[in-house]
Amino acid sequence: MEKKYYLGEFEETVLLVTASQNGEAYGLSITKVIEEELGRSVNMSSVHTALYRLEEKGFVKSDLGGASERRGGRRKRFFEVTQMGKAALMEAKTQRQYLWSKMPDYLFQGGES
Amino acid sequence: MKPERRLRPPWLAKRIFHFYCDDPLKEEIAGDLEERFLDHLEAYGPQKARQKYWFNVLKFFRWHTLKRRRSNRYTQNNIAMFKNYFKIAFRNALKQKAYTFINLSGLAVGLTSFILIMLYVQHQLSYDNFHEHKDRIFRVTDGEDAITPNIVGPFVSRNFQDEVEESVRVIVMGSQIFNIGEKSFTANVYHADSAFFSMFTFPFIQGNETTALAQPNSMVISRKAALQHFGREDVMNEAFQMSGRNYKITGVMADIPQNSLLKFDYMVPFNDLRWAVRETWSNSSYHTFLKLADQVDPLVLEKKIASKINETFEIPDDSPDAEVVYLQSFNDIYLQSKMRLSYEIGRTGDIKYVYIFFAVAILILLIACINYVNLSTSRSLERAKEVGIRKVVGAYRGQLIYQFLGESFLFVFGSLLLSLGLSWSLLPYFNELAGVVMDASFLLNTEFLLTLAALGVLISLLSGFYPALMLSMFRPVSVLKGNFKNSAKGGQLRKALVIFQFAISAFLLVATLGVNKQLNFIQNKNLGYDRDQVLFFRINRDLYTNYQTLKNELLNNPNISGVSMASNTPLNVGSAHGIQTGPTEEDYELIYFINVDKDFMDLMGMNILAGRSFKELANPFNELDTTGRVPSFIINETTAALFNWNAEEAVGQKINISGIEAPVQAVVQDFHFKSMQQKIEPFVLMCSPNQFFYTMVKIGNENVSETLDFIGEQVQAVAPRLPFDYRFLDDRFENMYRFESQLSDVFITFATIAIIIASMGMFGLISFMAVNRAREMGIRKVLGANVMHVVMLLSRDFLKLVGIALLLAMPIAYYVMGDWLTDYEYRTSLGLGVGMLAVVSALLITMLTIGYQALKTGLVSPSKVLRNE
Repeated sequence: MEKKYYLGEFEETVLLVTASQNGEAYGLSITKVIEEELGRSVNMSSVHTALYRLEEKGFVKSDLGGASERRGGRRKRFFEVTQMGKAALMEAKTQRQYLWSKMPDYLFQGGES
Repeated sequence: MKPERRLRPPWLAKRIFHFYCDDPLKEEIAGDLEERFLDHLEAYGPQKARQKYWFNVLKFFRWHTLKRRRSNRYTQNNIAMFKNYFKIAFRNALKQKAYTFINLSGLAVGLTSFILIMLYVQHQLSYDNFHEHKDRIFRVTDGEDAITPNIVGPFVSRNFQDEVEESVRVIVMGSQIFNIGEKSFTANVYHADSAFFSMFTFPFIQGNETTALAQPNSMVISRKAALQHFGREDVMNEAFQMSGRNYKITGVMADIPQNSLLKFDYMVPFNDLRWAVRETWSNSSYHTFLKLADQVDPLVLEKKIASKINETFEIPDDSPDAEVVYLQSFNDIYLQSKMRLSYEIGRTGDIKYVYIFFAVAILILLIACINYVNLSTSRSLERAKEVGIRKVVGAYRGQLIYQFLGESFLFVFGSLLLSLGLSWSLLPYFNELAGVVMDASFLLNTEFLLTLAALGVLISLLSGFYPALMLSMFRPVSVLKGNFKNSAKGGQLRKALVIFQFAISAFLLVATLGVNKQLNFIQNKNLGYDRDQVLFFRINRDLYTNYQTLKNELLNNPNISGVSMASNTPLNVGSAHGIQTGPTEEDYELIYFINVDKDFMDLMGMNILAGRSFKELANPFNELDTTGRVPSFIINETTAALFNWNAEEAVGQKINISGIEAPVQAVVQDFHFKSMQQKIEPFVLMCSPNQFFYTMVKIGNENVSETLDFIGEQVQAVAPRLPFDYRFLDDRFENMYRFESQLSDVFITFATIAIIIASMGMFGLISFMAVNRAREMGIRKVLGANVMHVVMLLSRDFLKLVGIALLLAMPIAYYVMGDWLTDYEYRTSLGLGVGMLAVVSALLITMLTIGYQALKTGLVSPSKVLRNE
């Protein structure tokens, strides 16, 4: 199976969170999800870096908006997954499922047998 | 209300972030940082939150967040923006017509001055560059005089065959008489050794460079001379007479380039000068040029030549009488950076004036640039709203800087184009002003244009940078709220620049007045003789033989008051004997002399202080006859002072001139026989009739042209083959100081330009200031101020600045001009008058410039300016 898209592990996570937030994702919101829901400690700056790289690769697109008092009147950069991003996520998912499907049954049932 | 300090993110961290972060990313990241800070504040309290903020800021310091020059991230459609920049620039230019005019014309005039002066500088520096071997041509000198004995050339060639490829002697013979068929005229003639045309590069259009001067009685003429006398270029082998000898044309040169030190239309072989052929060490009248072999060090060679000469005379090298030899590079002669020699072969320039002109060009340009800076910043109020709006809709500061820099580029290059056109059309006038001939093709030289373009960029940056920086700095909030004021800082800089401008102008003014004063001093100084209405012309044998007839005829005319013959005019005497000043023959000084007839001193109005004139006794020099007659010497006061005699004491004392001893017959009052740059030296008048080359005629003030015709007819009658090419003494005198008078003209022109540009700048400034302060003045008037108060109030600031400028400029100007004057042995002093005149004119110009605007502001009814409140 040929791999068309290259996604790092962290990039994949960020991309997944972005996709899950349905157009409302921005640097801090993604950081919060990763920290609070996935329980993984992460730097805000790493998330931003990942987002910009994803954007360079064409997996997300962005737009400015949603200024609020809490941000000192500054706008957020909202990220949205592109078709290519979706394709990349699909591919990653398919590859994993393929690998899971090849998994010998006894490997994860050893405790039971 | 802002929250208390500890509930806000640390300001230093914020500053650091803003410092490093790339503009397009700043907003979103700063927003995230702030939101995060508030989250943390709620979760962990202020201390922890501030700490975490610091960490976050430092962690964001990454490659992709750093500021970069060309960030193409998240950019908009730039083309549309650029179109808008142009549109706004043009609209602003049209809206403020006076401002645009001042800026454009100031820059254009400044640049035109600069271009013209640079052309001049380039022309001066290009002198003699066209000679193929210029780097290997050297002239032999003794460090004082440009001329050497005629043996030096052959002597050096014989003794240093390895080092010296060729040697050429050149002598310029003035006013030689030519006859072509029926036509006759006088012209200067070069005599040179036959290698002349292989040493110097003067290409021929007819004939052969190497053989043209090989045969006696051959002559090379310029294309110009060929066209003038024959009407065609093809004049090979044509015959004519010069000084009574027959010559044949063996070559025609292309015209001598304008930037050539050696300027001649006629060239004949050196050996045709019969009296100059015999090699001797005692007759110094010749320029000796050497073409050295490759890789020969002139410094080493000149020592060797000096030793060889000393060896010949058996003088030890270290004795004070030993000869010194300097090999002067041909490249150095025109601008003479190293030495200033007497008896120069052609008109030379002076590297000092090249520098001075260059400095003036830069100063004028600076004044024009300052105008731009001052007017742009003082107008900032009008552009402030624009800047505010642009920032609100998302312009970065960088973009605004580019916008305003771009505007200054537009202005500068617009005026550069304008000034190229101006230079083109003004070039003929400038040529006349500076006394040079440059053609406009210089202007189209690619290198020159590229230099100008580079200069344009430099000026744009120089004059656009500060306004761009200042205009882009405005905070949208304060600008748009409407309570925006011009910053005091900009005002300070503006003041400093105005002071600088006027200091330059005042300096140029004093320099101009100083040069002018010295020029007047020279022209009005009593020379010790009367040069008015005296004409002179060269004579030939016919006239010499029939001189008495001519003289009688001429004196019959009531408009002619005197006729005389002499070896030279007293204007610029160059021939000298030696006068013994001590017991041995080694103690001697040079003494200049001319030979004159007995009417000469009366005609010239020279003053005999003691003794008898030539009218009473005139014994010729060198002709001791059997009756023991001794020559008549009339010495000047300076000669008498050599022996510490006063005029009365000197008469009858024996002096020895060139080995002939005779008593002093009379003492004449000192007179100037050289340029004012040199002091009066010992001089003797003698009366050997076989040494007369010129006739002088003094005429009255009336019917000058008829008198001239009359003289011409009489000369024609006694000497039919002599051209009557007369000149006036005072014309020749003016000619001697042509350099000074040109300098003065050039200075006057450019000082005027500088002052005009500076005044235009000031006019612009006061106009804007008047607008800015209109309300203040209105209120003052309501409260009882009258027109005079308002005018004074507005003028005071500027007069103060001009006053400071004058205080700064005067000492410098006085120092520099005093230094310049020391070049002249006979000089005026600047005195207080020059300074006063400069101060008064500067203040007057200032008052005139600002008076109009100040008055206009003062006369406006307060209701008009206060209505909008």
